[in-house]
Amino acid sequence: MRTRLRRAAAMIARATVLLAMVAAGAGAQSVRDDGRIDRESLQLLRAIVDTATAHGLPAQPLLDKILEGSARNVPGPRIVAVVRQYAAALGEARTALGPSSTAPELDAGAAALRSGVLPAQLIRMRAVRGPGTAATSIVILTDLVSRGITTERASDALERVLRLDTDDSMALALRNAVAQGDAQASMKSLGKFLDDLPDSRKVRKPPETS
Amino acid sequence: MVVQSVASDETLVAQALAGEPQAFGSLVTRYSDECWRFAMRMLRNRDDAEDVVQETFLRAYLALPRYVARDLFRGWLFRILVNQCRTAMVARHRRERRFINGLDDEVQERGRLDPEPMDPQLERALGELDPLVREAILLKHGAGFEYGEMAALLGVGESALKMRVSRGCAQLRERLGGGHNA
Amino acid sequence: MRDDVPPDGGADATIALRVQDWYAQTPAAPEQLRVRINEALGAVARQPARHAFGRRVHWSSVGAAAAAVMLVAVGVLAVRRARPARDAEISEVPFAIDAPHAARVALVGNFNQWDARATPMRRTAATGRWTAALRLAPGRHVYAYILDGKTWTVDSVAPRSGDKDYGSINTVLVPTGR
Repeated sequence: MRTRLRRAAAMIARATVLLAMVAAGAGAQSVRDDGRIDRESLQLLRAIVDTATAHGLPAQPLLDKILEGSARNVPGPRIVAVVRQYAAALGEARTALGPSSTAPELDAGAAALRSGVLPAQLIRMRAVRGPGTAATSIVILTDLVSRGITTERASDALERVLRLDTDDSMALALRNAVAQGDAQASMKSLGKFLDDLPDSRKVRKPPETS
Repeated sequence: MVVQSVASDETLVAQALAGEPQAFGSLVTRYSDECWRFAMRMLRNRDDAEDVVQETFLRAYLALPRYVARDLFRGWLFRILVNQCRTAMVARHRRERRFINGLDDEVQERGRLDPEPMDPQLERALGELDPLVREAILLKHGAGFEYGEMAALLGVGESALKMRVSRGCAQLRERLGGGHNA
Repeated sequence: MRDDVPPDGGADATIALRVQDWYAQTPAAPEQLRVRINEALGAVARQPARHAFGRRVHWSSVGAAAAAVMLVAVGVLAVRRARPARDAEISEVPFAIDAPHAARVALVGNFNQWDARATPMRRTAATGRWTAALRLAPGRHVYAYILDGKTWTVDSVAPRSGDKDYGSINTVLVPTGR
């Protein structure tokens, strides 16, 4: 009894460490250990996540990938491969979007890169949306590309629209217009949306940047 | 960090006792929804349910050194939760003794659980049951505990619990008129 | 044969299933609940082991019990104070998918650890549309739907995540209230 109470005291007394838990708060994910991921894969995953966080990359998107893979009964080695690639993509996203990028921006950027968006196109998004405000446009860019619009055309169109508004409402409208149709219709919908922009709001295409 | 994220309950408890910063947080994440669901259905009041779930994890945290590995953590946590629900109900009944149509007056005042309750007849019928019977039914058919786990959790014999649940189901059947409106 | 089916079998089983369904449809816990729990735990953790309310308490078995009681009381007070007046940053996000032939649909995503048990959806009988609403913190969330416990599907109109590492998933962005 006395030993247990002393242990309680020791636990409670580690205020600094426990405050870190509180601060981390939402970052404390957990997975039911039902044996879906083999031990070796777990160790590799642990190393990948530790390395990523040591480089200042957000761990949450990687944990999400692990959990998703586990929920889908994906074999451990495949989860390891996916998480490794995603960690690399997070790093590339940070290079493209800059060190001041928020975790949602990096997460969105990594997903964009994995779907075929080029780093140069992320840079263009950053040019029109400052740190902490680019996640929506990156998500929209990814969605347009996933619907069959070429990355160049999608980023052109999006950049034009984003320069017209300080919030992302027009970009969201563009996405919605494209999303209603099938792949073939997507390009037409995109073109029509741009053509239908009111005359007074059309802007010249921005000068080419190096 | 991912050490906790794929760990069993027992591992997380051991890590929490050893001072690992995120281990108890992982247990909170893992069980807060389940505790919430039970508290909501038992107390039928959002504010009370939130308070009870918070109190449960607080007490679990302080009681962690007393947890023995042979108890299943979930059952051990639910024992605390059930006791907190009982305490909350006693406190509520002391505050408000009027009942309208068999529903707790305070539940009515604070609004329904959700604007479009899924099965209002069942909710009403469950609300009219003896709290211990309702508790047993929610543990068995809601939270999905086995009778053996419930016996350990509640300190009541298995056969007594089976009778309690069976009696409760019979009462529900009677009040619901034997039919289910799909 | 289920060992938990009571002697009068069928009738109780009907009630049991009805309770199960209704229980599973319980609206999800507010996102803030976990935050509040962590805040309360943090308040408890910040109490030094030998002090309570400014008085030095010797750490004996009796003293520890008394301190524990006071720590719980502080924790409760912290809980009461920690409840914010308004959930300024949490948004309630609706989810919907048409699946008229499914018997059950679960919403899974990074907000519920992809756990199919966490967020069962509710069906509108007439239209076969399944809905759920979750309170989500600002940020990027990804999700999918699981039909009848086995078939993963996505909403074809909702934003696509793009990376099909395991299969298609949708994205929703909850903006910060800036």
